[in-house]
Amino acid sequence: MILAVNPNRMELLKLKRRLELANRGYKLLKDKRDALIQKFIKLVYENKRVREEFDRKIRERTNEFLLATICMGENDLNSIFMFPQRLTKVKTEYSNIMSVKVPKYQITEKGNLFTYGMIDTSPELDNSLKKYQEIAPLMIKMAELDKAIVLLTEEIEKTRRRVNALEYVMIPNLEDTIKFITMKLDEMARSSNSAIMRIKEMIRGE
Amino acid sequence: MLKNINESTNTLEEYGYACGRIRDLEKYLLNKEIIHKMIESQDLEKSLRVLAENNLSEYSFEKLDSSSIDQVLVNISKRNLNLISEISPYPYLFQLFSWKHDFHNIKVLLKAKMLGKKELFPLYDLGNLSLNGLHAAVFEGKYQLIPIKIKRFIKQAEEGYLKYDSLQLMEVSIDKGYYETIFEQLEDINQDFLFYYYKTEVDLLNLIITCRCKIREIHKSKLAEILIKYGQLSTQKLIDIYDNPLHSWSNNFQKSDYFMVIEQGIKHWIEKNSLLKFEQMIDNYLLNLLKIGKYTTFGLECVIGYYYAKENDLKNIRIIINGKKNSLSDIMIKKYIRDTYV
Amino acid sequence: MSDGIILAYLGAALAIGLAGSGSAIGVGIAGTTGTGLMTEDPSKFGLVLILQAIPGTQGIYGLLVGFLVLTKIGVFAGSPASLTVKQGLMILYACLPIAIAGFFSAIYQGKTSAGSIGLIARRPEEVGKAVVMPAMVETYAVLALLSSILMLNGVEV
Repeated sequence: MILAVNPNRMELLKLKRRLELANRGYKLLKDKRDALIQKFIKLVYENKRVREEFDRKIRERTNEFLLATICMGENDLNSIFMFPQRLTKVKTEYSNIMSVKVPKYQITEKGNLFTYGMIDTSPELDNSLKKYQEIAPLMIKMAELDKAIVLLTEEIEKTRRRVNALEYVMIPNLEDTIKFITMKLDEMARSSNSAIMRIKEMIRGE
Repeated sequence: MLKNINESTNTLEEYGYACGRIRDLEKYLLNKEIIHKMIESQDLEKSLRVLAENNLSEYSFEKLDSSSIDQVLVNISKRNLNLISEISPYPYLFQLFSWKHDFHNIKVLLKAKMLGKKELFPLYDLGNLSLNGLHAAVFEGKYQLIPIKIKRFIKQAEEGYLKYDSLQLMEVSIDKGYYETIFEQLEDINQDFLFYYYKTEVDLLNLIITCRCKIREIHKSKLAEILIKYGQLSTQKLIDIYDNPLHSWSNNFQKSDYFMVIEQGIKHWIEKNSLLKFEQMIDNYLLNLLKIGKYTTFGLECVIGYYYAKENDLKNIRIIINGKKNSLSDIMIKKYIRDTYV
Repeated sequence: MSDGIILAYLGAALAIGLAGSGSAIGVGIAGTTGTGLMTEDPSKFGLVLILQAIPGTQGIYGLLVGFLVLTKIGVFAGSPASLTVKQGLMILYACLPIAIAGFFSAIYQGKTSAGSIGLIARRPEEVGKAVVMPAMVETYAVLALLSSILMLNGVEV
């Protein structure tokens, strides 16, 4: 598409400068996009790894917990777990990946884990409860990665749109317009040339 | 099992009636065959049907959600305790078995008070003490309805909690109160078998408590406070070996009766990082000890044996129900099922 | 009345009294266990009754020996024979086996019966074996009865 500009040298100069800028921006954005995608793929792989680890661990822990409480009634279990003394807090910090603000979570736990005595409760419960401690950090890590991936996806999408706009709209338009103006100017130059030649001819004929 | 037979075994003729009744009731205890059939059934419903097919109408589950199943099992446990009070000539066995529920209630009430909870608590209404009395004692400080001894335990536990801010230590202190009460009453009753049983129970408990302390990373210096003192095994010995590596533990008990339990339990703990086997071994050891009850015609062994056999049955049924519900494999369930009494 | 007859009376009294008390205790012991069983399963009444009755035989043996003594000394005939102290003592001693063995065997038989009642509670089909066990105790009561009778026959009146 040819932009609606006056075909003169002034505009041509301006457009040429714009084209140069667009090309440079295009290259930069493309680089950014590639870098983002690289980062994104890395995060996706890490997410996959963490998720698999989580899946495996939660299955193991659930099984262990099940076996630990297998001979306890609901009443007994309630009387153990109705009264927790453990507090888990999550703190959020932000870090920067390619100008994207990505949250980082930090987990802190305090208080007693074991709030029950040692008779009439299954001994394996202690073991199981202790091992469960590794689940919460994994979950937090998963949330962190998920959020980072979502944010990165948005950014990649945005960058990609910009790159596309530059590549398929802006740069061709500018090139077309420049071509058009150049042609127009050449045309003008030719027509003025021929006019001059005719005038010269006329003068010589007299 | 035969170790605790002495001249006073089988001489308590006043238990003749109780033993006669129990001989019949023993028919309704679960045997290995029924248990295996239950485990091998496809699902929960079918495995519960096995119970009905074997004339065990006591276990009738109308609904299969966990709270109603739990209710049925708790009711059976309640009936079991009531049966003991009905058939034994003296009330002491009933009292002995009931203290457990009292102390459970005290624990729950105290915990609720300490953490300021007001919801419905999971209490048992089968103790020696009335729930209202306990409630008034714990929440309002009115101790008229409960014995002075219990008042002392409650006070101690509260002080302990305020000092260390740890529910764990509070419960431990109440647990010690429980055994103090039991052994005080045993002194009054003066029956060899009861002493023997409870001492063994305390010994085995002390062993598992030592392991649990290890898991909970409790320091050696606190162990003396946590262990229960009434057993035959010296608690000092357990404290001494506490910091030794795990595999050397069993060597210290080679001459004791519990060697098998300790050796296998610890071995499984090291290999699989789980105390399940230890727990199972302990349960089986105690059950095996009680099996003398099957062979006495005149004695409280019979009554005690039946009571715990029934509790053991309930435990096994719980294992099967929980296992089936969570679709554990048959082999898994069989691995953790307890011995049977008959 | 002669002195000997007093001793003979004592013998008869011991035989009936001791063996009878033994039986009463034995039947009582078996009975308590039996009631316990029947509380749960009243259909076992027949079997329980047999086992409970077994310790009762000693009382009957005692009574038998007592009767023999009384016949021998002619109490039933209306004219008691006159016995010397020696004869009286012999009759008294003749009564002792069933008195003593009857008393103790009945108690132990009661206990064995109680055990057997426990057995039939679990395995009613084994009732034959359950009866044999207390019957073994019976042997010694029968031996005592036999010796009492033989000894009594040896006394010349």
